[in-house]
Amino acid sequence: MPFPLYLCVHLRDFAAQALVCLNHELHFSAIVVLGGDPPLERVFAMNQRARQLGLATGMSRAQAESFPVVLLRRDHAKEEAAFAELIRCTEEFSPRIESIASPQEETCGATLVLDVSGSKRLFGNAQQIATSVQQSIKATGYEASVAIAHNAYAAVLAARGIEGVTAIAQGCEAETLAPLPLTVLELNDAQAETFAAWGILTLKQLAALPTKSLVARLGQIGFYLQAQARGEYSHLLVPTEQPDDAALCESMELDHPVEMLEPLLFLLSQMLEQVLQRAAERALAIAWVETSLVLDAASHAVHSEHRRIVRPALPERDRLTLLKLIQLDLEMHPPEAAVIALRIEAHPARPQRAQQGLFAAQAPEAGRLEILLARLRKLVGDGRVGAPELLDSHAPEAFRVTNFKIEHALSPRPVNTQQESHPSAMRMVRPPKAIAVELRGETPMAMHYEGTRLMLQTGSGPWRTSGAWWTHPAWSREEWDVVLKEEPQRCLRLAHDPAASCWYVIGIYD
Amino acid sequence: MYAELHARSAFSFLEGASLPELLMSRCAQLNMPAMALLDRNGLYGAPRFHIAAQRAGMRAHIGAEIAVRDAGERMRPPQWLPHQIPAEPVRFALLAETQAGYQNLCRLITRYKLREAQKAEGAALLADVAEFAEGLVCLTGGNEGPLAAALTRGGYDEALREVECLVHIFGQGNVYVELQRHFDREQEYRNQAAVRIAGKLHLPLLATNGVSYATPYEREVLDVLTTIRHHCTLETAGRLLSPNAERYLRSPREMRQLFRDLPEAIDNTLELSARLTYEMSDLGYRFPDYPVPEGDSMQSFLEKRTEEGIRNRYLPKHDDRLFALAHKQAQRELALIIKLGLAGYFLIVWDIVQFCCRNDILVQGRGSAANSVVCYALGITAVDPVGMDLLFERFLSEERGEWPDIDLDLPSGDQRERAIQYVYQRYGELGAAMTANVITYRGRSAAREAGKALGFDAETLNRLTKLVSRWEWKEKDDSLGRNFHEAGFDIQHRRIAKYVELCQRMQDLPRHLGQHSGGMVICGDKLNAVVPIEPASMPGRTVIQWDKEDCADMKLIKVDLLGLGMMAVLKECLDVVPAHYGEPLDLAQLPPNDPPTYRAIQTADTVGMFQVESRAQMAALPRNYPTCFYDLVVQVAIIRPGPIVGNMMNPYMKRRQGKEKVDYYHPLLEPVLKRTLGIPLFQEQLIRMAMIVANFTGGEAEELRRAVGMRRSMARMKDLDGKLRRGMSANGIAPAVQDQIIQSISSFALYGFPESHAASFALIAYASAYLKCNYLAAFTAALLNNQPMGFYSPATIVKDAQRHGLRVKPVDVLHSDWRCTLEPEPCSAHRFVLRLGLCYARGLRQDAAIPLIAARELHAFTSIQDLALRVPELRKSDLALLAKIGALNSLGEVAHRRDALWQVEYAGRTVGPLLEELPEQNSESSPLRQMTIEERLVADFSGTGVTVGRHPMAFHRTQLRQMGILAASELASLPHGWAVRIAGCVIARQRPGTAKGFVFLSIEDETGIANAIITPAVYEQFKQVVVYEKFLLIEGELQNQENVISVKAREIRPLEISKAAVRSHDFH
Repeated sequence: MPFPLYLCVHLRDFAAQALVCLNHELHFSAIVVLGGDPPLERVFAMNQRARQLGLATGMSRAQAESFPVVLLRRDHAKEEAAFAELIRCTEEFSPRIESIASPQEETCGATLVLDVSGSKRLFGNAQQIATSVQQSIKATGYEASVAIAHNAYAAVLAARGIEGVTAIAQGCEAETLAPLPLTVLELNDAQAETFAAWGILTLKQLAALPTKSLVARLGQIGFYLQAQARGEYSHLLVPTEQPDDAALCESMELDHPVEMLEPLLFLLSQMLEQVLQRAAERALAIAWVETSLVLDAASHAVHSEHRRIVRPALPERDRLTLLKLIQLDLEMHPPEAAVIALRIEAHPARPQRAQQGLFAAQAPEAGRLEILLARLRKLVGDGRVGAPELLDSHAPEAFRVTNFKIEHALSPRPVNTQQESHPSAMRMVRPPKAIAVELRGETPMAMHYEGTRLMLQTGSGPWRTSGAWWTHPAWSREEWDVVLKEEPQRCLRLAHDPAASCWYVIGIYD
Repeated sequence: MYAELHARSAFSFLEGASLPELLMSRCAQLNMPAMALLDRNGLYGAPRFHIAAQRAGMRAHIGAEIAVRDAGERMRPPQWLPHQIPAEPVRFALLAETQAGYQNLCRLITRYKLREAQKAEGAALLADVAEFAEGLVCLTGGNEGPLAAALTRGGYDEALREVECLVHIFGQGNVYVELQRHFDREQEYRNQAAVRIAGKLHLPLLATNGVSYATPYEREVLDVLTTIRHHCTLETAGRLLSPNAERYLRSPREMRQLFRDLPEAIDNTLELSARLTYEMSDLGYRFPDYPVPEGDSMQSFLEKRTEEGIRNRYLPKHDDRLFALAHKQAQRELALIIKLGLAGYFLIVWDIVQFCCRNDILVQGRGSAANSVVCYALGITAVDPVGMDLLFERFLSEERGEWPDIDLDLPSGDQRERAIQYVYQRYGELGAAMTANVITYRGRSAAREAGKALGFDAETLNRLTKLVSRWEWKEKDDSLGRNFHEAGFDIQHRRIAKYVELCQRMQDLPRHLGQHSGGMVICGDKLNAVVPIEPASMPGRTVIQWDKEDCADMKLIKVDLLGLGMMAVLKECLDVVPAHYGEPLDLAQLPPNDPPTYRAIQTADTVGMFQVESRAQMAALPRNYPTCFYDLVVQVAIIRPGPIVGNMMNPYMKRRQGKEKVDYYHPLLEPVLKRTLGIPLFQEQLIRMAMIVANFTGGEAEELRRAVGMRRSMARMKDLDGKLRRGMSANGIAPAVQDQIIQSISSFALYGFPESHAASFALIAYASAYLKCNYLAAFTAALLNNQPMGFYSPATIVKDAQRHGLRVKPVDVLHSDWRCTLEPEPCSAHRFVLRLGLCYARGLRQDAAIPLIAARELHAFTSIQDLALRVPELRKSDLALLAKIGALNSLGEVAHRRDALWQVEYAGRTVGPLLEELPEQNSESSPLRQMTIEERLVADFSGTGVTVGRHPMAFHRTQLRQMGILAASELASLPHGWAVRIAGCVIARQRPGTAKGFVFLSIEDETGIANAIITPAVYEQFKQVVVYEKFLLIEGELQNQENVISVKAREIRPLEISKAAVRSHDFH
């Protein structure tokens, strides 16, 4: 049986490379990538030029700004796209790829291991394979270190520690790895501290330690680390598979800008068919779909991309239902310009299965109910369909509309004895009706409504509330409860906005 | 008219937004005749409120909101309404009608506060309230009160029952049904019910505004404080925040308008205010009597003790004149002490001193007490006021009408705690307590809390708070705004601008109550009837609700038992020197003019010495060249902000060096200012000047001193200024000279030292200098054992001792005790070497070190495995630490530190009992290489903070010479004005408030310490390097004048010498 052959691709400063790759102007600049949320940003990654200037990861933005460097914000989307591109690029050489370090793991490098055993006839000898891979990656705009060895971990450590292409011959692993610093190993803090205390700085020094004594001190991990340092660690390559919840994407570029919704829906239908088929192959349904419409920049669009998300209450497998939901949503929120490309990203989930009781009341089918709600939403507007939920705030009308939830156990609402003694109810006037008010002192005396002057008999108030003074705009309101003199003597709730000097009727007491 | 009878101040800790003084001044502006302060669960703000009222000519009523646990929960929104308001007990709003009522209030609060096992809010029980109800008037309260709670809980009937219960507890005439109107519908509904209840029970109505801040603008601060109290942000606080900004101090007209339908509710405020006859002018406080033997009165007993003391103190001096003078002065002082009724006070302080003497605790009085020969005779102070001609009036005068202030310095740590516990035992748990220290929001804390309230994340907060400057010196535009702007924040942005504004508005608001460093209040009767007492955070301690300023204002007598690190050093030397050197040591009998001691002081060789070790002192010592004890007294006093700001320091130095003629403002002042060469340096001199030039009495002059020192007594100062001028005119002093004298008085009085205090400190300074010069090993060991203290880090102290020839040995598990010790070495100049203690192994617990020492005493450890087996308390990390710092190197089979680390990994592994004693199979010698010098240095500094080996700079001297860098010791031989390069590790960075933005650096190399002066412009240029780098190369101009050497920096660069974590003391 031939010896297995492994190739490792390591992209140092991957976060920086992902940003610079498509921006040729930056290729010759010192680049620093900042992570964290503003205003607290720290240096997350940088390119070699920046490193030569003395920058280091962990520096604050203020510190980094004191160097002549270009500061860029970290972009996860670009990193993930670059990583996908990297995998696509390496898939040409082997289907068996393991991701050792990826952008999701919050490391500033990216490392892939490829099983290239038996591919000599296709790509040449080890050195040639490695060179081909590096060139292929370079063609996409990335700088990678590539190492190839009969031991997977020797390839990983060499790629991490040696720039360019390294081909390690059978039996030369230890010799090649010897000068590399210990930082190429994945050490935890305690291990790093122990080795630092021991003065072990290179793989050679680690490899030279007596194994039994090392294992007696560090346990099995000592053995593994030393085996790695000696290039003898046997690594079982586990090819990376797409996880269940990985998004299913379809995209399409259009020959001409399209302004009508109908042809777009036709295309979207086809794309949905594709993703639903792929989801069905994995026995999954679609939890939510993000539709991205790339807009024609020439037609003065404000945004270059129009993104909408449709999220049915339950994971859905029916194309027509999803398409109808997307249609209703796009009708409510049409793009501002003609569309030149489409992309859908469907996020799968386990399909919902429920056993209806034999005597349970017939409920509407979930998909149809969803469409009904979407239609209602289209009619009355977003945030106006669902169940109201009170908010913890003194602000008037402090509520939001949330999705309907099925209450499993209906708990009786506590009854306030005070309310029982005052069985009056009030109808809120939405939207409030603007009125003019005549005042005596600060008390409303008469109001003008729709051309009629209505005298006010009695009034209580003002009831004042104000808040959110730390934001702009802050709110404040004065309310009055007044009784009209004219028959029928209706009791109204008036509101006054002192900032705008406007009066409104906001409620009618029954 | 109207009086506000329900107001909370910021002393309701996070439930009020205005200081009591501000509330009272607003009340005065609104022409209100009186106001009541009812803070939550305490009388924390009452003294300040009372004093502010006195100054404003108003009446201050005192009360508190008392949480009552079994009276139900306070009103909260209904369950269906989302809110986060926590369940809390209702609070009774109580007002003190009489002195008995006030005392009951204090007792009530003390009762439930002390019931808590630790510092906590606490809550009373109804039974407690009933027990202490006499003399108190109860209001039914606002939202937090029992009436609102009962109405919400059970409607009208429940509320009626609740108010009946209050009437039952407090009596029919002592319950007022309170109405508040904050423009809230539900509140008005409750008000209507309250009016009906009052009518039914024939109770008076009382309008209040439930004030939480002085003006509506402060509602924002209250909201921020609310978020701090509930650990949330403004965005998430919801209904915890105020619904509007109506809880401010309204004018009588506004209140009358608001309650126009219920005028009696307004009228009743005046009626109740008239009923509340108690004001805090009489607290009923009495200092305890000292128990004297049968047949003696306190006076006679004090006279006898003083007489004895005078004999003991003065007879050995063999100076009849001095003895007679002392006797005469004692008679004069005793007469005044007895006249003022202070005999008991002196005896009680004497009693504490006696306890310390009996228990071998070093004690010495400081402050103005050293002006009194009675204090000297009683052993309270150690400075002879007669011999030094100190002014008694600074300590005590008839006119001043206040108690004298005696501060006792004790060795910090356990010994001071013993003295404090003695006072507790002697006067009981309810008879003595520590004074409080009100912790207020300052730059950093305000920045942090305001940031949290606005929802900044933790990391942003850290960055923001770090921006708040820590230098003592503040540049003109060193504002929060500038700091944020520099850090890249847009201060024009509304949110950031609001943040900066909130930070500024929160400054000085109380945050919580801490404990004063040593002030104890003692009471003749029960202290808990004078001021509420509560548990302190520290076990075994209780604290009153007022701070030291409040105690002084309310005329409570405080004895300060202060911890002084140098006292602990002296005490340790007193034990160590006789035990090791075999020589007796008595601090009272130290040779007065020890030549080596003065030589060290004159040459500023003063690292580790008390008060004279700072950079500023070192710069002044060679110029002032102290030759006697009084020179030291001046030296201690002169390097202070007062004389520096008042521009006294340089004239004094010039006159001392004979470069300037000794001159007096007026010939009359010559006797007063002669000792300080015509420059007023001491507070006593100010008093004497006023007495001589303006014919002030001693008391008046003391009042003048205090008025000058207080920023807020402008009116009083104006009167005294007029009187001073009139007096000087009467004595024929020319107006120009008058101006000079007044200028000199006002310029230094704010910060000046009392001469007596300087003398007390000079005594300790001399003792520390004497010990350092004569018993260096003992003194250094004691200094190292009592860290942190003083100006320099242990590393600098060790290096200084080594430069003086003392050998210092490293931590060693076979030889080190927990503390640093002396080991005999007869051939050494110092006779002993100093052994670093295990306490210097950073992170090693005493609980592990003590068993180690015990096991070692049985028989010495033979190997690391032996050590690990016999001392199971040592964790693997402890063993690794000891190995890293070389403390295991003397164990058998250990070749070097890395070898020890190798063995420790084996010995410290976790195996079962079967295998733990198994020696390592096939154990070879360690495969690890020995640590390099740099690695050892890094290990030393990270593991112990010191190195006993060579200074890090010493290893690079050849290379440094090639770079043209001079050693610190070489600077003295170079002429003034030369361009020089120096380098070293930074041991101190200073930017004093008095130095106009100059930065002073002390850098150390193997030959000594060099000082660098950095101008503001150079500092701005090299700010990052100056602040963050550990080793610096400084180029500049040598300033070598009058034996004071420094380098005026022109360029500063970081120096790559070592990665050792050397530490500097910064921002003094």
